[in-house]
Amino acid sequence: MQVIEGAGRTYWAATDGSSAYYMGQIVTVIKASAANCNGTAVPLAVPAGAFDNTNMQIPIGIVGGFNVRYPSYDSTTGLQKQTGVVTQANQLAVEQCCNEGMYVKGDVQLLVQITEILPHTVIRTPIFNTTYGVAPTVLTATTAMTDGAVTAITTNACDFGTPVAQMATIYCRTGVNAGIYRVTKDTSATQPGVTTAFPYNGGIGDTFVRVPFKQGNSTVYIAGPGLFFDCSKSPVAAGTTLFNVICYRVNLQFPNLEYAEFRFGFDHFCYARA
Amino acid sequence: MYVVEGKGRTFWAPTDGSSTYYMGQLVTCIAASKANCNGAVVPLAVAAGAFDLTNYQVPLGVVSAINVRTPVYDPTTTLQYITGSQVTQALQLATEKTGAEGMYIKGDPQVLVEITEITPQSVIRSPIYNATYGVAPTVLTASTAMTDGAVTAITTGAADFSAGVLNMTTIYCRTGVNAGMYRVGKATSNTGPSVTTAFPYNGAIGDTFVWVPFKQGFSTVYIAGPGLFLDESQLPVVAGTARFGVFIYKLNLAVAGQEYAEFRFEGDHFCAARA
Repeated sequence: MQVIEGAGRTYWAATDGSSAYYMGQIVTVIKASAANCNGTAVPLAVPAGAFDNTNMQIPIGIVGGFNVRYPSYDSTTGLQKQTGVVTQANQLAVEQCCNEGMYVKGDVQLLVQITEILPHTVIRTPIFNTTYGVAPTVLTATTAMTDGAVTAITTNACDFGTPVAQMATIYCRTGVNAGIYRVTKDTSATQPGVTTAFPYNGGIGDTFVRVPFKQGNSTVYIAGPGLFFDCSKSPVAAGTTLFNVICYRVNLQFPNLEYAEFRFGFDHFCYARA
Repeated sequence: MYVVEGKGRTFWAPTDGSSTYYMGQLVTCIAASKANCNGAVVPLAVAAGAFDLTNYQVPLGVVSAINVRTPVYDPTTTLQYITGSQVTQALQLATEKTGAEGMYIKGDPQVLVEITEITPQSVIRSPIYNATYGVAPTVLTASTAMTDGAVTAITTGAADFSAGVLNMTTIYCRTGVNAGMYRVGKATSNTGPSVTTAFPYNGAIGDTFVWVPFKQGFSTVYIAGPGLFLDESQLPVVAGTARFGVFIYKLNLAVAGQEYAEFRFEGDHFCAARA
């Protein structure tokens, strides 16, 4: 992920000495279960409770740097990665450099540079299907439209099991409606239907991508941890085990390059919320 | 205190006619006990209830000027101040006023203060004192040596707060082989600091430390004065009882008497109708 608009401060913070940290990962100051952590920032865990009300994680920023001289890469994600350590020997075994701010030069604990997220901060995130790097499934129509898909068409199954009316987006990737987005009204993984019709009646073989969120108020599952929107999770109106976000833009044009631009709902910045 | 980044508006506002206002004081628009106040702003009272849920004070800003022609200084804090007990005609007219701008007409003799507004993203620099304005945090001297970077606790003099809480305090090494380094404390005692992420070197007897009841990141703090400093004599509280919730960007405990924190208030404090 990356902050594309409205970044707060950029500062260096201590890690918890045990988690794996990735470049581009969202971090929080509240560990899952609302416990405090050793250090400052921990990776954003998956949400728990409506709008994460069980964990109450406050998203504080995105990792933008490590204080290590020699970066190490994670082969699965292709991202730079560091794992926290706590003992003297493990701290001294890694050559550190480059940190600024509160922590003195030469401090050998693992530090991360944070690009701060504030309530107005806009973030660009990749969209994957369950696993980092796996693109959303392309859906192919096996029936033709008769009224722009107000009457549902049939496709192979989308990645999320249970659509919710007005909480998912379908994008036509090839066919007469190519490039056009619509919000869906159906509750079937294989029968997409819309309220605002596609302008033309697509044919059999047209392809689509379908994701469980939309421009505007959405509920999303952030996995990785803190690395991507998981399009395999069904939308939930009440937000149970999902984060609340405002999506400015969803881009489903290219396979494996699908992304969303969003900001967090303000609740996520309040620790004492109901 | 003062706003170091992300201030909102600067505006003039009337006082409540009874409180004492200081330059650099945090003020709120909701008085303690959730009452409304006469005027616009009152000094920020100490928090009551978890995350101040009893008082619901919304931090409004920091006082940056007072509309008096002849400033008066408080010898204890060395801050410019005014006692707001100017509700009667006679008291208002007895002090010569000047300098106000904005909504209030030139020549209005009520006490007005200039507010540098705090919004949720405003970063504030606050001094850190021990119970009383101007009193520096106690310097702790190690009476035992480290064996594993203080994963096993060392012994020092007593910290100013009565008990530590796991992962909610910061210990700073001021002199010794680890000088300059901060670590989050895990100890629940106030005389035996220990850490999870070790200090890299084994410090010796005689090394000195400063230990405060908050840390970089999410913290609960006691703001005293009223509204003038972070009081590090108050123990940390996980659930925030009688504390404000803040996000601390930076602690600086390097110089005695000049310890400070840079923080912003956590979002709840800007919501008057929160649960």
